[in-house]
Amino acid sequence: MNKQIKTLIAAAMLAAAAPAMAEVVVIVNPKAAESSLDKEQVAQYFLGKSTAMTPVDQPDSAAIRAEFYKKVTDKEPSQVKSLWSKLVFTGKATMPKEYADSAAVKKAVAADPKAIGYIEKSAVDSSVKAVFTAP
Amino acid sequence: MKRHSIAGAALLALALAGAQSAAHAQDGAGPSVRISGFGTGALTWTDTDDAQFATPGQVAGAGKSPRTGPDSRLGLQIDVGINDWFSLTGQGLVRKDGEDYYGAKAALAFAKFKLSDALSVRAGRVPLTVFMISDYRHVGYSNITLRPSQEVYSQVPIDSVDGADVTWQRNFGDTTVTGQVAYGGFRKNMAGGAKATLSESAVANLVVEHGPVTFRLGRNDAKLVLDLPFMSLPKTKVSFTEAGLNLDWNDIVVQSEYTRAKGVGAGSQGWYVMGGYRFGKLLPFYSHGKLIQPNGQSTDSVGLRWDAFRAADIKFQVDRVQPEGPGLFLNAKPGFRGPVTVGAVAVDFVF
Repeated sequence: MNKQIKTLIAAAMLAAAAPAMAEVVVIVNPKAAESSLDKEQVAQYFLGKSTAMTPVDQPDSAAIRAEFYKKVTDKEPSQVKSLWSKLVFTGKATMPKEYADSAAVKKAVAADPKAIGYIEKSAVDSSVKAVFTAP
Repeated sequence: MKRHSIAGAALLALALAGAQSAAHAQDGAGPSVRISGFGTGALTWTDTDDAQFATPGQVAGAGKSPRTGPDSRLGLQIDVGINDWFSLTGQGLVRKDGEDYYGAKAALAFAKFKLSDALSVRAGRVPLTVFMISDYRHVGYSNITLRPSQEVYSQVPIDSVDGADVTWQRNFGDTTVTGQVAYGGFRKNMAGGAKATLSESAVANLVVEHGPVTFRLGRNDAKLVLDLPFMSLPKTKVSFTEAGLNLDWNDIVVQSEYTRAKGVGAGSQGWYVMGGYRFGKLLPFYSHGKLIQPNGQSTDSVGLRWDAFRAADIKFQVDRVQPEGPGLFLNAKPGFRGPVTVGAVAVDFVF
């Protein structure tokens, strides 16, 4: 009886912890040349250091956005915003376009061979290609 | 009942189809328009009425009564993407600059041609990028201190040139190298009824970014004509050299620049070092700046940046300024002497 309760509690705790450990996957168009990218390469596109690919964002208030930038660039949202502001207001770049959710991001990435975006691992399907997984 | 449902469904379908085609038009063929902006609302005051504290380019400033003039500004930008390689950008900046009232000036107005992933050309009114933070010295949200170091940034109070620039950027592994050359001229009203005309201005700068560190080297050679109320200084060759360093590593931030201006009078040298530490949303900092020229000055600043909101921050800063003679203060009464304590509170936002 005790063992069963313990197992139940352990399972419940794992289930409760699971959302916090959601993996974020970086996706590109299936026709894109890249098959995999490392963390630094992904960061370059999302911090405006390279324009070879077109980054797309999730909404400003979405938890996955803060999680993605923290895991890939090691920066807080305000730091990322500050960095992009420097590029935007000196006319060097425009901020990545924001899409409503992971489904919209997938659609945008599937429609543009140069697009690069991020979604939850559970949302990945055959319409996009995964090139990097943030733990 | 059924008729209403069908009509409703048809309307909904039409609306969705309309929205769909508009979205496709944006993603595909048509031009995209983006409006964005930045601003700072600030109050600045000092502990003396014998002289006024102002930021570069201004003609009047703050004394014991808090004023919004020195540190407040608003920028509005419109970016029109015509296609993959051609875009237009316009930016208007409102601040007290050259006159003692809030005026709007076109800070940027250029057409940009993206020749390749590495190379782009801009023509029109482009930034005069002689300093490390030249391009965004007015974007409060992008900077840690409440204002750029007075000692260094007063040396060139001009932010734009009418001409063209070419930018080249390439990644070598973890290192990003950016080179830029610009050419143009500019005319600006200064304090005391003076007018500065910059011509044949050639700028070259190199930025190397590796992980948390950024190095920058810049050089500007130009001809300058200064028209003062009672006389005109002849066309002089002027030059400006700058070296800068920026570090943001494990919540430690350091920023420093050394600058040297030659050509007008005895020339000048300036430098500052700023250090701070990020505690979550709070970033306390300290900075020391020095301007070496006849009537130079030095400043010690202590402040706090608080990222209180998603797209806005609040800053507090206290400066202890030691001017030689009038230093950089305006409208100094005879017998004015430092040190002067300057206080300021600001809210920076971007949208």
